[in-house]
Amino acid sequence: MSRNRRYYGGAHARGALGARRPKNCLLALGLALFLAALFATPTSHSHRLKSAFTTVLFNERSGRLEVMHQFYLHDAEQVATEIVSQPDGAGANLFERAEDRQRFAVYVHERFSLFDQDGEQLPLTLRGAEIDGEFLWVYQAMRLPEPPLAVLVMEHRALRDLWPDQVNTVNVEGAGPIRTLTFRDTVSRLSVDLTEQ
Amino acid sequence: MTNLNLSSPFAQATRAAAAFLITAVTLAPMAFAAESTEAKPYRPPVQSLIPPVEQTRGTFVDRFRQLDEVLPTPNAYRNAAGAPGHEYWQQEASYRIDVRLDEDARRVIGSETISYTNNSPDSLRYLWLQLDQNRFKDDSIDYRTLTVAESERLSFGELRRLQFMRDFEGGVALTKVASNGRDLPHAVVGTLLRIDLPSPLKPGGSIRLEIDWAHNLVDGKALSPRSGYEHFVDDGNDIFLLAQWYPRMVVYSDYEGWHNKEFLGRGEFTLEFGDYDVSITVPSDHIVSSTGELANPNQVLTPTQRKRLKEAEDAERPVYVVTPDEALEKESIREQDTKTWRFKAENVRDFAWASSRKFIWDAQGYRQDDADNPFVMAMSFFPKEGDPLWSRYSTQAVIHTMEVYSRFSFPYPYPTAQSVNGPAGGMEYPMITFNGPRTELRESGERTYSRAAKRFLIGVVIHEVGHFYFPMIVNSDERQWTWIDEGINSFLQFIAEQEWEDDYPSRRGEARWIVDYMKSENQVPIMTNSESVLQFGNNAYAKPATALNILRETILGRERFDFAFREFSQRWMFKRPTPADLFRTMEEASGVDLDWFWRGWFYSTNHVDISIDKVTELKVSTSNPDVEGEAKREAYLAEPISRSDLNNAEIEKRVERLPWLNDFYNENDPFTVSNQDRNDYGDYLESLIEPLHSNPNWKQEALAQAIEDDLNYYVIEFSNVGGLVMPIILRLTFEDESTEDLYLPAEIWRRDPHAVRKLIAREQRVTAIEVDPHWETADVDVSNNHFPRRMIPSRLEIFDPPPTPGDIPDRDLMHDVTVPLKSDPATEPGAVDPVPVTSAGLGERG
Repeated sequence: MSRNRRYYGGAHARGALGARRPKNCLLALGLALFLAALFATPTSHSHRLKSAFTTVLFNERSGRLEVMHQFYLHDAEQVATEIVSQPDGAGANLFERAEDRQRFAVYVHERFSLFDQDGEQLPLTLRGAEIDGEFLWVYQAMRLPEPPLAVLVMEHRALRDLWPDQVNTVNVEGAGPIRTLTFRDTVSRLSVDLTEQ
Repeated sequence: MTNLNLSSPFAQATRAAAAFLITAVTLAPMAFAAESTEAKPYRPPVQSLIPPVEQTRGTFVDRFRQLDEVLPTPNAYRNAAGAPGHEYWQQEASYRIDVRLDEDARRVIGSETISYTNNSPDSLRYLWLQLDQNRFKDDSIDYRTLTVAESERLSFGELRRLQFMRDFEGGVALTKVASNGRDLPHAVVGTLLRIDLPSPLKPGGSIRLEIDWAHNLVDGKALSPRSGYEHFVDDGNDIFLLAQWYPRMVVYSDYEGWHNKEFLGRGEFTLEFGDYDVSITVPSDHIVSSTGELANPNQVLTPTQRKRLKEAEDAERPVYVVTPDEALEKESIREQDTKTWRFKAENVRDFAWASSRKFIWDAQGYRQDDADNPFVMAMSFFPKEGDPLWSRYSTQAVIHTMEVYSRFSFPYPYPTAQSVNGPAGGMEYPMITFNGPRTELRESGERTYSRAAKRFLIGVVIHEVGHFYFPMIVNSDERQWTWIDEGINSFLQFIAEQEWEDDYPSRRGEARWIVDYMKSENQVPIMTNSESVLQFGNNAYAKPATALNILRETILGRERFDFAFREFSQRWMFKRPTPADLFRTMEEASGVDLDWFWRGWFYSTNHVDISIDKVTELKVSTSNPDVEGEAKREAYLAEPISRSDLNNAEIEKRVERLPWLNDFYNENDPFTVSNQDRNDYGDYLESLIEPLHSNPNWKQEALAQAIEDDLNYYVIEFSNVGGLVMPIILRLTFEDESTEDLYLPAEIWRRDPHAVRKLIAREQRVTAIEVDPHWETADVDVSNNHFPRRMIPSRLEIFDPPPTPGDIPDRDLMHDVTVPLKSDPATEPGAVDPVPVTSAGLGERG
């Protein structure tokens, strides 16, 4: 449809760059819809930035290596909405639906891995998820490795594969002084030397 | 000088068996597992911007050193009390703008006149302005330094951003830069514009600048900027958000000069206050939401709309000015002509607006007890894609925010407060906020939202509207000190949320949510420039918010804190405060020395970890052998008989067979009191007399008093493992299970910041002591907070207790998830849950 273009004064016509409509014709309608769904709410700069916290605890008392992920509930629900395709168009509802919580937990489980000094993946099992306040917790565990690890290697891609500015922080506790790993930007694998005191 | 006989070794060594004069019981010494009770070796903080004076000998660290030597020197612009000085100045920038939105081209074309007044004592040869839209030029620093997350995969978001930028012509096209009709030499430097003045602008002088410009709008979904357009494929319409859309004056301040830093997208900005008169030309069926008050409603609103607005003024619930049906109808018609909406705003530091034909518009008046501004119109603008969530909650959340925040600072000074739904997730400008949440469209055609989405909307609106106060009015510099407005705002947001509904996600012990961060490595102090901060989110929002909350609830108490905070807000309303002004004001107005608090929380990366290491129970001895001897005998007899003695009981002892071997010592046990003992007691009492004292018997009297009071004395040893000094909050539990809470101010650490001993006395015996029972000090390790020691299980131990050996192997939920559900959990929340992954179907843990 054509529109009457009116300009204020002559100044705008003179030397003004012609405006080109940004192309989104690259995307077929279906793909556009899909992408629109994929990016439900973009990162807001004035609000809290995308971040999650994980504690990896060598727990002598329980005999387990315990992994406890803490996500902002709203972030988790956005992700769950994107990865879960509900048949009737609804988004994920983490409060009301255990199934959605499980699926999010599985999503996290698939993106968090531990390896030993030889690069062998450690057998973490998914223990479950729960809501506490404004957070969603996801739990993983395995028996404490025997013999004790010298080096712990970690990958943590949860949420980072969807949101490039997501930052995942990990505290490794129970094996000497607390060590902290930060997964952001282009980081893929990080390691902790457990023998240093 | 003789001391009260509490624990002195029994001097008369001839009494071998038992100590007469002490009854010292160290409660349950074996309960201390070795590794947790020994005070950990003190490790100096790794990073501290201003290491409190440390010694080369010894370990004394001055945690209570006054902060004055670190803070900027008070001057005529910002005084030592933390208030604006008697010569405080700030520049003034007022704008008269004509702008047109070209909907099809997604472009704005504008023409402005800036009236800039130089209130500084300096002459200015050039002026700097911001051209923030230059960030989207493909040769901008921001764009060229953008990185992607992984090498072998690209997220859809990254791909779309790349595609958009390839086609997009970003940046500001300047077509006129003049003053009083005369063109001025100027230079564009990234996102900044420098205008060179023909003659310097003297102190007190003013200048008029005329600038014409245009720029294309950015796809708000592709790039997540603070402004741009969002295209709705279904109905073919856009929502336009306009922020940072006009060339505006860079701040020139007393503490930094020109604040001309390139805009990279993260650290925001500070701006000058001024008045605005803006005429916005848009398609005639658009609804415009904007900073300021609408000056020409008769020209742009229908009589019905004007009537509804009037109705909204005293309504009890929001009133639609544009109903959902009306908005829906407009979506399919595109008017060919235009209308010009004129808005005026006084004393604002920025100007933003939004426009769309999709907007549903509701409003409700808010009356407040303030002679200067008794009435505020709260309004929300949103497309149908935000309903029913927005109709229900947005405007009410706006009003709620004003009600709460005004109590803590000042009555809201502007005529409107607005919440607009568009592609920006959450962003704030004077009188207008952009908030992102949407609802889901079901196949049935119905739109729904989850509980989490509802909480998020309310939280976002509260947070963004909260920003009207900080920093839009209390104009702190977000670029340098993001934490001032974000930390203060997060802290007030929590308070507002708690007052929204009963079981809002509990902030009880909110301090504990920050402990994971505070015990981690690689932190930087809060007082670090925002553009280079690692853990940006935690350092700018959570840690300062937690610190303020602790200051309010634990250190100062609500009354003193609220008074001081209100003082700070009102002093710096419409002015530009710095952190030093906040620190100084809080101290001066509360009357409490807080330098240790600012130092610890804002200038260091120390954390809180106070440990209770040992408790010694003591009773005052009467020193009277007749009394003590009997007591000792009783205690001895109460002790368990040894195994050997039990076995030997039946054996006839020698002195029983030959009684003539018995003597005085057999008939008088070691606890027998002799006259010598009694004489020694008399001597002891006499030694207590101080002949030169005004009351020579004062010690005897004290002893007599103590004996009469018959209290239990406890010496409690604490160590400061984390380095951050905090008050020691104790809960004592007594024999009868009653409890008492005790607050020991942080000054207890002033002579020795590593370890202290505290003496308390109580009538009843204490059976347990706990440090920080309400988890309010952000103590990172509560396992050393208990006496007797308690095992503190990890979260996972509580959620999923470890199996004992011999149990069935650990359940693997990866597998269990694939087991088909037997019934639909959506219809019975929490009722049927084939794979129990949560402890509570709805809501939070206790």
